[in-house]
Amino acid sequence: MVEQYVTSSILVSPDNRIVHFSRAGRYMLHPDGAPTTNVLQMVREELQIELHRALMDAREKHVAVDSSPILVRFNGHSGLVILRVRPAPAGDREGFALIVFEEHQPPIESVADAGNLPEASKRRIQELENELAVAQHQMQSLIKEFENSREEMKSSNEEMQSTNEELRSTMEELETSKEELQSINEELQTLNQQNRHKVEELAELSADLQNHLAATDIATLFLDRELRILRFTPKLGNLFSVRVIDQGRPITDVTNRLGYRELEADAQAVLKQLTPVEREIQDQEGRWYLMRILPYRNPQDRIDGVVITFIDIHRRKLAEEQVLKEKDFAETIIQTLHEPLAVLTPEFRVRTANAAFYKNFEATPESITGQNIFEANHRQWDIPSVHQLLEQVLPQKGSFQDVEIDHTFHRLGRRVMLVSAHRVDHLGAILLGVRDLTDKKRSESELLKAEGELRAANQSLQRINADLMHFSYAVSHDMQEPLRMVTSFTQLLARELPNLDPQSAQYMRYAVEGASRMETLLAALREYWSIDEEKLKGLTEVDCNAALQRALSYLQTVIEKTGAVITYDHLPTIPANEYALTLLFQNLVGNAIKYQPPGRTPRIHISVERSAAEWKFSVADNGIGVEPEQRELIFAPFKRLHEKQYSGSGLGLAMCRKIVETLQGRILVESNAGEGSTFQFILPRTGGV
Amino acid sequence: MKPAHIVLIEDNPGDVVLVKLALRENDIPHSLTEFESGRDAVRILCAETGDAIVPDAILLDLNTPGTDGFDVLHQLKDCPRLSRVPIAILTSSRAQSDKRRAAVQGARFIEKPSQLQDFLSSVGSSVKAMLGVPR
Repeated sequence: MVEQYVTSSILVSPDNRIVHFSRAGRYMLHPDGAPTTNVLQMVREELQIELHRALMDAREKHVAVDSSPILVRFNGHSGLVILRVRPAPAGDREGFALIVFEEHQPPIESVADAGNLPEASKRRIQELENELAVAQHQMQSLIKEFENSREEMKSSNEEMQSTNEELRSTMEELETSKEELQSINEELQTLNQQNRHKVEELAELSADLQNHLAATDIATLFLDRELRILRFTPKLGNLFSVRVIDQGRPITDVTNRLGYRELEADAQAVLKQLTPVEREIQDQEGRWYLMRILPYRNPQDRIDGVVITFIDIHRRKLAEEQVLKEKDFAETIIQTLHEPLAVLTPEFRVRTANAAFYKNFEATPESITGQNIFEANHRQWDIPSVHQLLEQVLPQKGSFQDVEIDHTFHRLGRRVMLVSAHRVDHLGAILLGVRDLTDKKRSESELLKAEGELRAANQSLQRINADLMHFSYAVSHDMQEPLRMVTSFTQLLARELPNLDPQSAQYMRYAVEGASRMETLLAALREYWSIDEEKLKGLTEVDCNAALQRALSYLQTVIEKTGAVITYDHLPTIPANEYALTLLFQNLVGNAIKYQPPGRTPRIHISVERSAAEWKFSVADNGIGVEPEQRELIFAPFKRLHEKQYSGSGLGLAMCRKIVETLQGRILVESNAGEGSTFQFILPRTGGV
Repeated sequence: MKPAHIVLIEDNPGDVVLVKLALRENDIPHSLTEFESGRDAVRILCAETGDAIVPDAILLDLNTPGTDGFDVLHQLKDCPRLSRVPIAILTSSRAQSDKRRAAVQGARFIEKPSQLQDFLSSVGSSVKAMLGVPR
């Protein structure tokens, strides 16, 4: 009994599946077929309709629903069951519901007990039972129908479900296409980025192009199909009077400084035929330009106009002219040469030959020009040795020089020649020169003979010269004694005869003076020769300052007499001969004092310049100077230029030259007549002094 | 002043005249013995025998014929008897080498200048010096 009142309950999910089951077994009856947890299928038949209704009410209205008592036939007995359905509160596990079964004892009213009822009632009961059976039957069929419609609903639900799945798959597809779209979008973004880069690059390029156009030295003009100005470089301003505002105007409206009228025609031709036009034109000032007209192709390779460039080729043009001149010059040189010369190609074809060549080998320009040298002019050059030289020696060595060829030419006879050739690779030419020695050979023996004679004559001259020098040396010494006698005794005579008549006295004076002059000359001559003797003694280190001092001391008398002012730099010590150097200074300073205009005080400066290899001594004076044409003469012996006014031996400067040359040096004079002169002697710096 | 005994070895008569004139004009009392050649002079002056003269000074021309003047000088200097006699070389040579050679051999060197006056004074003063006469 107790057990009967213990609460039996079932917890169901929104789709009526049993979630929890508690002591409710007696209200359940598992149907045939597949196992199920659906409470509406599992609950006893009598309870199904009420339960269904209660569940729906409870869920819809969210209220507790109690059914009316239902008569249920259990095994052998029956009971009244009240179904209490409690839905889960709204919002929390919505749709779940708790079903509680409450069972009551039915009223004791058995058919068996009906025996004591009246027949009418019995009939009535029978009728009612029949009606009930019919109603039950109807209800059964209703339930069946309901079941069927539920099945249908289920199937439609399944359809819905499959539709739902289809929808889901469609959605997935949409998702996929969305991702694709996204990736396409990203690609587009990348592309966009790239485009932006491109645009930037284009901007840079455009800037570069602008700068290039501005900086370029080449005048460039862009025209459209109607020859209207699109763009141009600043340089174009030199040729056309265009300004930026002229863009869009036809080029024919713009004046230009070109002496060239066919620009329009040429541009049209380029537009029509699409072949570039190139011309060398001159502007009004004579400058040369290379004009090129090219079709302007747009990126679609359509011709949108023309590009005209003007390149300044003035220099090139000048250079070309120069080259032509040079070529002409070279040609003239070749033609002017007395010796036969031919210019060959590397294949030994004659490019050109000079007149001497034609003449010497009896050829004509027609007979050899363009021909192979070995075949030209009746194969006259078909000589084995020439073959060998040109074909073997020349390729190896690049040139050969003066190779003697002795050949007997047809018609020309025997010729002896020196043949030279040079390969000029950068000009693609071979220069072939010939020296005809035929005549020379003939005269060579004569020349040899003449040379022998000349040498003999020269030797004899040298012998005579040596004899003369010896004679001169002997005279200078051996005549000294007799002359001294003449001098001494004419002077003695003059002294012994004090009372001579004036004419005799003058004669006597002439004799004395003549003897004195001769004495001076002989002394100078001895001095001149003494250089050779001194030379034999060799060189020592000589202090030039000391040598100059000594020379000045010898000149003391004349310096005092003339009041000469003599200055000098510090002089070096050099390898020389002291006697000779003293003599040199004595003569040069002595001359400087002597050759002065009357009344002028001599001013003399002695200086020295040192270079890497030489000492350059200078003795500068303020004297009468030396005429240019006399500058060489004054160094020759006995060349006296001032016979009367200035006395002298005529050997002073000759001796100076001899001294300087003995010291391996040279002497010269710089002078403007009347403005003084500077004698310079230059000695080599040997021995590291 | 006692006349000095001077020997002159000179082949040129002109120079003999000029030397005599120089001695006279310079007031040098003297007796003069003349030789024309060096060989003769050496033979007489250096003779070992008898009472040969010993002069006070010898004037020797460098250019006497037949012998080299320096040879003569050498021989004279070799004579013991003449060892203390001053000898002078008379010459028109101006060569330094000759001067040096003369000095080495202990002889005076008298140049013969061309100018008459120079000659007279040059010879005169040299001879005086040789004789030890104060000027």
